[in-house]
This record gives sequence, structure tokens and C-alpha cells, in this order.
Amino acid sequence: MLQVIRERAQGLIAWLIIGAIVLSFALWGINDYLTDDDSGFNAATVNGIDVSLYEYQVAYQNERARLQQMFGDRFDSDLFDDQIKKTALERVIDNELLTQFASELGFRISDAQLAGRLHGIEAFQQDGRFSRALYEQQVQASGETTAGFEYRMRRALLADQVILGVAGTDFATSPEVDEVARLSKQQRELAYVRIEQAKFAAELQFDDAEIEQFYRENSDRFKTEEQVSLQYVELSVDELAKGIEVTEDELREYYEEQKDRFVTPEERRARHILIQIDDDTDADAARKRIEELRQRIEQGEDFAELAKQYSEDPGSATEGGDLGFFGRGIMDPEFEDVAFALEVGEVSQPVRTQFGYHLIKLEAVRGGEGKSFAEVREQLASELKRKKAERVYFDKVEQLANLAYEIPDSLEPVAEELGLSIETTPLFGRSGGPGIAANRKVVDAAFSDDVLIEGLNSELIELGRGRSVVVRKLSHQPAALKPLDEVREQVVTLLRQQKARQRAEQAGKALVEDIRQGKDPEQLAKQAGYQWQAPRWVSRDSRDLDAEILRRAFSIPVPEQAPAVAGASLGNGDFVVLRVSAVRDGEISDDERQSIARNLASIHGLESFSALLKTLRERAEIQRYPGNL
Amino acid sequence: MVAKTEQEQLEDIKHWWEKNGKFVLVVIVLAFSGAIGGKVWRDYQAATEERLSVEYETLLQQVQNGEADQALQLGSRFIEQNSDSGYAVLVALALAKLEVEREQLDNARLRLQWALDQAPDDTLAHVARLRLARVLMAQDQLDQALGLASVAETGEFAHNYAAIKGDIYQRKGDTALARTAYQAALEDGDTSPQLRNLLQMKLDALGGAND
Repeated sequence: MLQVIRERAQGLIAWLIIGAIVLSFALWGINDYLTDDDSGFNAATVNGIDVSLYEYQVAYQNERARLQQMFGDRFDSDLFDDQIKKTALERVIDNELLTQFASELGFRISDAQLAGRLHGIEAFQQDGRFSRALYEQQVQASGETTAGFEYRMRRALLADQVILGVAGTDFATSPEVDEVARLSKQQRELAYVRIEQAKFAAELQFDDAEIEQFYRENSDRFKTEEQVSLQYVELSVDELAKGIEVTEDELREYYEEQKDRFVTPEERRARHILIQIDDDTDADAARKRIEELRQRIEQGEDFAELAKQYSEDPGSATEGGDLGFFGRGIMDPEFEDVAFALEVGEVSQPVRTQFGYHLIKLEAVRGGEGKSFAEVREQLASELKRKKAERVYFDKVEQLANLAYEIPDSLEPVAEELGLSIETTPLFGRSGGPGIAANRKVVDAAFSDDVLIEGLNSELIELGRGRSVVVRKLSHQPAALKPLDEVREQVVTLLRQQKARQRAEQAGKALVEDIRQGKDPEQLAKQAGYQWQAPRWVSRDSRDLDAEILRRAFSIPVPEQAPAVAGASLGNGDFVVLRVSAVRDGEISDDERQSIARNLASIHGLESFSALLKTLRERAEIQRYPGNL
Repeated sequence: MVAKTEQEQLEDIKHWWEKNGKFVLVVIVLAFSGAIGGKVWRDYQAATEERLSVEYETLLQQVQNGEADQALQLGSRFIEQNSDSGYAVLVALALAKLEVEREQLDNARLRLQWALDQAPDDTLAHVARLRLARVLMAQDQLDQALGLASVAETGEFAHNYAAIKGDIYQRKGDTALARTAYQAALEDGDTSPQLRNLLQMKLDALGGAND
């Protein structure tokens, strides 16, 4: 219809209508174009707002670097990767939530604020001042545009305003500080005795029935690991490359294509004299004049001088015809051919170009050095083979995935079709094994229901660096109880530990009772052969005491009057009997008071901020696209 | 139905236009002036918000640097002049912090009460209410504090409320209720390790049913 009106329209009316239609597109259409985004480029959608993959990737890199620094050599990217992805994704979602929250509150970041923050970043400063060039260079080096960087920065600043406004404005009241000071600096008068399980372990003896019973009751601890071995076919670019031939012609062509890598391009410096062909001078006249000049040069006159006097090239004449260094592709083709054929010092025959007639004198040659074809032939051959192999690989990988899926009961058809051999792995457990079993994805596939229970081919597993495999189960060894004879020693050790721990506990509890009855603890300990630790004042941060015992000592509720007595099993199986005979409040300095106040304020602040963030999460509609990560 | 010729269609359009043309023109003119007016208004709004944003950041900076006097002055003026701004509630929170730090608990209470009443959203209301309850507790207004901390809807702030209730009951000498409240806060998976340590210490100090 639009077309019809446009063609037919005469007069104002129709134009007005067209105008109104166009206008409506202008007003309402643009928005759609701007916000229309393919979710393939997004990491998540939060309340209908897209969070870009780029933003996610920045968070991912940061998180990865943080863990790498934290774990150093023990950093295993395969092991951590899923965790990093998750953390990074949640972080960008949080950031988006906070940005949206700030916008709802009407928060804004002005250009000046943004600039102020950028100027403060040390990486963008030169001699202590912000350098725009350095800023652009740094941002581009990280693969981002300055517009994108500033957009992210602005959002981060918005989120900061919420974080600081909530987490940074909390406080601790004086009574709160007093209470924490009183408790954390509290001192207790502690006496204790440690009843070591080792003391009982030595004298314990077990008969076969006891051992047998423990072995049965704790059979999970004496099982072999579940193991599986695999058949697999592997497709790899390296293997494919071995079977690929390249011809001499292909290699030469590739060398020419890649020449810049091996040879620095040749450049030549020449002088010239130009006699133009124009309305005043026809071709013959020009040629005649240039021949004359050439004769004068042959008779010994200076080329540069003659160029200065006679050359009609305004750019170079004053320089004695000097054109400086130039490479191929710069000059007129006829000119170039001659210039690149001359010897240094030689003067050419007259050369005809579109401008007129030239004489050229070659002054110098540079560049052009490098490795010859013969020198790099081997390298080129292996590169080219790999390149070709990659193309074959991508075709075959698809075939491999499809065939292995269509015929899931065997690897033979796919091996035959693709000309691959079926390999096998030794048995390995869930922690992996040698060869391809070292790869986490392979292990996960091997123990997946499809492969382990259903006995099907796995999906295509990409090992990275142009290697892919499909695996299937070769054999499976379920976890099995080891024969008692084999593990007897281990059984006895564990049994001994358990019984000794129980004995220590019994003895300790009896001691607690006796002390509570009012018997002299020191006397009791001595009789039983334990070391009684006489009473002394300790605080929560006393260093000359086992940390576990200290923690127990401070968690004993102390009644107003009599000493409190309690017992507790320790992590290593020892039992400790504690007696707290007095408690006194600690004394604190002004500095300590202030530091408690700061600490409390920050704990309260972070606590309410994280509750706020959780509420935003609960309220929001969040879609995650883990497939895009 | 007989297809109309293009000429007839054009006639139809002309007819329609003669009938409705004025109305359409008026609508277009109104829409335009509305859009332009709206833009002017939005630009003005944006400029105001940006100015407030700068003042807000200055205030936070002063709070962080311990420049209490300047911050109190700037913050009070900010709220007087821009009480409708989204920043105002957070400014009130910052002022309350400064007042607590200089032991002016009555002032702190007023700021927090205002923040609670003005809070544009229940998360900020929770933040203000929790702080207000703690200031009341510091003033020994335990029943009032308890009333605030016993709000029905606690959402994700449940463990924060429980921790404060524990403190209030402890102050009231009600050990059993204090213990229950502390334990509830400890059982909440959202409680941070730092707060957990603090609560455990308070719980231990209550004595009694603790092995």
C-alpha cells in the first residue's frame, strides 16, 4: 500500500499520511532496533535486561586470576573451571541486580564522576597524570572498546553507591561494643587433664569374632574402588596430518602467500627525471629531450643536478629527483618494473608512464633479506598439512558424532567408516587414570548412566587442541568387598582406634563425675596416671594451649558459684576433662575498643547488605544461559 | 467483494482524511510537544540527579575519612533540600551512623525513623528498622526495640532479626528466649561465619543447656 500511495500521491493529503507513518516508525521503531538482541550473545537475562557474554568473560577472567593467585601451583583449571564459571555468572547477575536497584532508586553517575574515577586508575597514568592515549591503549589491549569499558565502569559505580550506602553506613553502639569486649576479652581460670587414647590402644587385644564383626559392620571402608575400562576412537588433527600429502606447487603458493613472515619486503631508493607529455610537449618531443639528458649523464654530468634543472616532477625536482625508499605497489607499474630491475648506481633507459618519460637512477636497496623457500620448506609443509588436516577434522568430527549416535551399540562401524582404529584404556576409577582417562570429561562420561549402565557410545568428547573421542564401556568392575585376610591389619587398626577412643571417653566421663562429687582432681589424675594441668588464667587468644581445648574451655557455661567441670572428645580421639574455677571480664585498651567497634560495624553492614542482595535475587526473574558460557 | 481500483482507494483515503484530519493533526502536534517537553523535563531531572549523586559520593567519602562535622552538615542540608531523592534514605542511614559514633542516640533514632518511614522499598526498610532497634536497645528502650524486631515479614533478613532479639532478651535477663533466638540465627544458613562466631560466643556466655 505504501508503494501505491507513494507512486500515485498528488497533493498534500497523501504526503501527510506517509509522513505520519514514517514518523511513527521513527519514534517507536528505533527502540526495538536498539534493544533487540540475540540471546546467543548473553550470559543471562535479569528482569528482562540482558547481561552480555563479554561482561561475564571479564568476571570469569578476574575470578580465574584470583583463584590462580590463591592456589598457585595447585591450581588445576579443569578441576576449578565449573566453579569459576558459576561464581562469575552469579557475580555479573548480582552486579546487574544492584545496577537495576540503583536505577530504581533514581541513582545516576555523571560524566564527571566517571571521568574522575578513570583518572584515578593508576594503570592509565603516566608520570602521575591521566593519559588518554595510555587509557585507550590499555583498554584496547584487553580486547575492549573504551565505550564498552566506560559503560561497565558506570554500572560498577552505580552498584558501588548501593553497596557503600548500605554496608558502609552501619555502626556499633556502645553497649554492643562493651558486650563483645567483655566476652571476647574474658579470662578463665582453667585446669584440665588430657586422657590420651594411645594409652589404651596399646593394651587392647581383639579376638577373631570381634574383628570379623567390625569388618562386616564397616564393610564400606574395605571395598575396592569401582573401576571401568574403555574402548574409544580418537580423531586428532595431528594424526590426520600424517596422512596428508602436499604438492610442490601448493607449497610454493603457500610460501608466496606467507612470504611476509619469512622475508622483509624489499625497498628501493631512486632518483628520477620526468619530462611530461602535455599540450606543449608531444610524446616524440618528450622522448627526444629525455634522450638528450641521458646522453649528458653518460658524458659525466651529475644526475641530481640535471634533475634539479630539468625534471618536471614538482615533488622531487628540488631534491635532485630523490624519491626516497619505496616498496612494491607504490609507483606506476612500468616505473616499478624498471626501478626493481636496476643495479645500484645504474641509470635506466627512458621509461614511458602515464605521466611522460622518466630516467631512473637506483641509489640504494634495503630489505628483501630472509629465508628462502628451501630453508622453510619443511616448516611450511607441516603447517600446510595441519591446515588441511583441520579441514578434514571438522568434516570427520561431525561424521563421528553422528555415526556414534546413530549406531550406539558398537564403535566398529564408525571406526571402519572413518578409517580409525579402536583403542582401549586400562581400568581406572572416578579419580581418572592414564591417557585419555586423565581428562575430567572422559571420566565423567565413563561413569555416566548412558555409558556405564546402558552400555551405549558416549557423546563426542572434545579433548581440546584438535582432539576428539567417542568412548564406550569395555569392562566394569563394581566396588567389591576385599577379603578379610587382605585387609585384616587395616581392620585391626581402625577397631583399635575406635575402642581406644571409647575407653578414653569412659575414663574421662567417670573422672568428670568424681570431680563433680567433690573429690580432689589432682589426686584422681595422679592415681590414674594422667598429667593434671594446674589452674591458670587463660584468654581466648592464649597461644600456649591446644586451640581445641581452649575453645572448649570458653564454651563451658559457668554457674555463678562453684567451679564448672566438663568433658569433651577431641578430634584425635583423646578426651579432655576441664575445670573452670573462675571467670573475669577482660580489660581493653582504647585501641582495642575502636577496633572492636569497626569490626562490629562492618559485620552488621555486610550482613544487612547480603540480605538485601538476596532479596533482590528472590524478587528478580533471572534466566541463565549456561550453554553460552 | 469487488476489488476497488487504486483511484477509488485514494478517494477513500481522502474522505477519511476530510473527516478525521484535524483530529490527527492535533494528536500529532500534542505528541510532539509532549515528547519535547518530556525530554526537557527528563534532561532537567537527569542533571539534578547527577548533582545529587556527586554530593552523595562526597558525603560517603567524608564518612569514610572520619570528617564527621562536614558530613553531618552536608547530609542534613541534603535531606532538607532533597527529601524526595532516592539518595535521601541512604544519606539518613549515613547520618545515623555519625550520630551513633558521637553518642547522639536521639538524633540517630530520628534519622533512622525517617529512613524507615521514607524507605522506597522494603529491603531498605528492613535495614533501617534493624538499626533503629539496635539504637533503641542502646537507649535501654528494650520493649520498643523488641516491638520493632518482632515485625511479621522478615524475608531474607530473618537471621538479622533473630540475632537482635537474642541481644534484647539477654538484656532483659530472659536467658531461655535469648538462647532460642541466638540458636535460630545460628541455624540460618545465610548467617556469615563472622556473625556466627559472635553469636556462638554470646550463646556460650548464656550458660545452661550447652554440652
